[in-house]
Amino acid sequence: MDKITLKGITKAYGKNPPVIENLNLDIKDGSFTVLLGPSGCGKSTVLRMIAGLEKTTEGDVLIDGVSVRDVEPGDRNIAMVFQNYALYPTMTVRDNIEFGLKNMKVPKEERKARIAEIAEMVGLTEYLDRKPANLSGGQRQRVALARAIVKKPAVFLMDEPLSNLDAKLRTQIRTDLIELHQKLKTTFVYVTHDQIEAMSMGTDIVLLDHGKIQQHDSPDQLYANPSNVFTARFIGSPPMNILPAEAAAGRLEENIVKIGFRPEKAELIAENGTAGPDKIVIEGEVVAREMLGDQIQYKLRTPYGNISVKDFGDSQFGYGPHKVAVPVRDTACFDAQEKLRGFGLEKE
Amino acid sequence: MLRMEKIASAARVHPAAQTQLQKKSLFSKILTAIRPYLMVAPAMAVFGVFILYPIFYMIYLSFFDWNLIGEMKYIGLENYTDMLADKDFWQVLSNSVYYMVMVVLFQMVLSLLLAAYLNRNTRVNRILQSIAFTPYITSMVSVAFIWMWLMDSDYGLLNYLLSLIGLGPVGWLSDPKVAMNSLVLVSVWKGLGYNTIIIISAMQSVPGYLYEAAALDKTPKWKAFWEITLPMISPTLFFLALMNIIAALKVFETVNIMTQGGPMNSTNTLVYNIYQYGFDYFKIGYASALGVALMVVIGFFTLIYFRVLSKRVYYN
Repeated sequence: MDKITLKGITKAYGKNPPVIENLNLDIKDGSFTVLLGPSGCGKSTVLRMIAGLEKTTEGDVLIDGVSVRDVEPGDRNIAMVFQNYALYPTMTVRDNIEFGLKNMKVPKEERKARIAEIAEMVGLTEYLDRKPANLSGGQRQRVALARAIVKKPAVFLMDEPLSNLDAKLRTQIRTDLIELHQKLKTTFVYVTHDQIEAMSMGTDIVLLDHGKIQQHDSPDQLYANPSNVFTARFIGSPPMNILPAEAAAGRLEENIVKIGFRPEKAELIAENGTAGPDKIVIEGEVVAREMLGDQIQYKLRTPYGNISVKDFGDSQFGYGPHKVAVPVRDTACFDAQEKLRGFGLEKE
Repeated sequence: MLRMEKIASAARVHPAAQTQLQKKSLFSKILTAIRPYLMVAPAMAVFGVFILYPIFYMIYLSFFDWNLIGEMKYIGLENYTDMLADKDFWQVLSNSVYYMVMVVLFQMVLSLLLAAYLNRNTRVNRILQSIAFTPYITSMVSVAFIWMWLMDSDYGLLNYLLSLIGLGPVGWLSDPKVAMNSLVLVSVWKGLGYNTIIIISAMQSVPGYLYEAAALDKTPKWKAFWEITLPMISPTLFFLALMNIIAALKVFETVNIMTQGGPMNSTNTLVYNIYQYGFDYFKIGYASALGVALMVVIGFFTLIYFRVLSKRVYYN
């Protein structure tokens, strides 16, 4: 069942060309849906239209199958976590969490109980009487989460909630959010530009670019079967290598214009080494080498462009001329419209 | 590559620079030590000559009997005992406090309401803001004369307007019960635009996302104003109110031009009283004692104000 449906949404500011044009999207009930895309792709705008903070220029937002066109943000049974948390700076942590409950006319006893429970859950009990200015970034983030959870909303909207945290805290809260989603079983809609966040947390990922949905899929499908070059280049770290079809030395079908392969599918071999007949071999020069402990990442300069290669073995390659070998069956084939045609489409 | 080398060489410590630091002469050490004082000296000199010296000279004069030209006669605390025993002094003091309370109260409430109304940045509102600001840039003397004319009991516009709706004439400046309120009205009218503009700018610095969070928290408009806007702009309100308190306690021009303290001393305020004793009766010592009283009163209200309110102000 769909929790949220966007029907032919168009959003334009003033007389400018629309940021989003005729967007259709179904968000499944109970899913952790991530709206992913580069900055300026319209993902936050979509979220804000679901929240009711922005009006749609055209089209309709449905929650539980009912249009919310005339429903105020406070009446949509949603909670939102903002990028900068938007805590009320003049109120204590307790008042911040309680503010929405008071407005929802929750009785005093229940408010108390809920705040105590939520404070325990996010580990804020001893900070309840502090003002946000006296909290660390991570604590503020938890207040923002607590303020959302305590309302027991049907939908959580999160607008890049981790981007103001340091890297270590970010990975920690990432797993916390997955746990939270498992526990609450409600719908999460999460906006981010970070594909690692999207891949690690989402059950569904909606990849947006220039206000258009590029692909709406599960993380593993998005990784394994990118529907176009944009998706292939956006997902993965480092992302998929995309080269002109000439790199395959004419082995692929005529209509293939670009080829792609994941860095971990490629293999580095010595300058004078050889590879099997089922592999495409590209000559190049190692220009950067990153030792990451469990793997080594190489960056090669080739006549067709730069290539990243991940090596999990013990083979230690230095700088200088080498070759890259890629199995043909792992090579993604894109046509002139940059759409994926399939993998390893060899000439007859 | 050349760039990298440049960065690396800049980061290296230069031994030569280090030794130079140790070899600093005694002269340059002294210069370093007194430089900050030299920097603030001009400002301090102006402050000393025009503020500190007059204050101490005023306190000094308050122990004398002097008519500006004759001999100065030391009389100890007599000016103060005379002042405290004088019924007129207490009336002048209560006039000043009444004027201050009324001006600050109406000034703050009205400018807050006006600011809340004009806060949205539309073209009409920008024009209205400029109109509201105009009285502030008009000279107090012109304002006083215009209002004197408006408030004239026989030919004034205000009484003419009242007569149109069948109300009798009001002695705006001639009725002892009304006159002080008329001065309050003029002062509030003149300062309203200024206060409003300052409050509007404070309101516009409240981040918009707080109101978005409030909207998602199902907050009614009035409650968002009361619980978010007001606390967020409280430092500005605190500052404005304090400035208004001090300015109101120092009121002079309107009193001097419009009522000369009358009728029946009902609009006589501390500063006007000082002026009367100093330059009408030439009792400089007594006027100085009144000046000290004014300083004490302003200090008292400022202190109370800080004690009571500063805890409730939100500073980021």
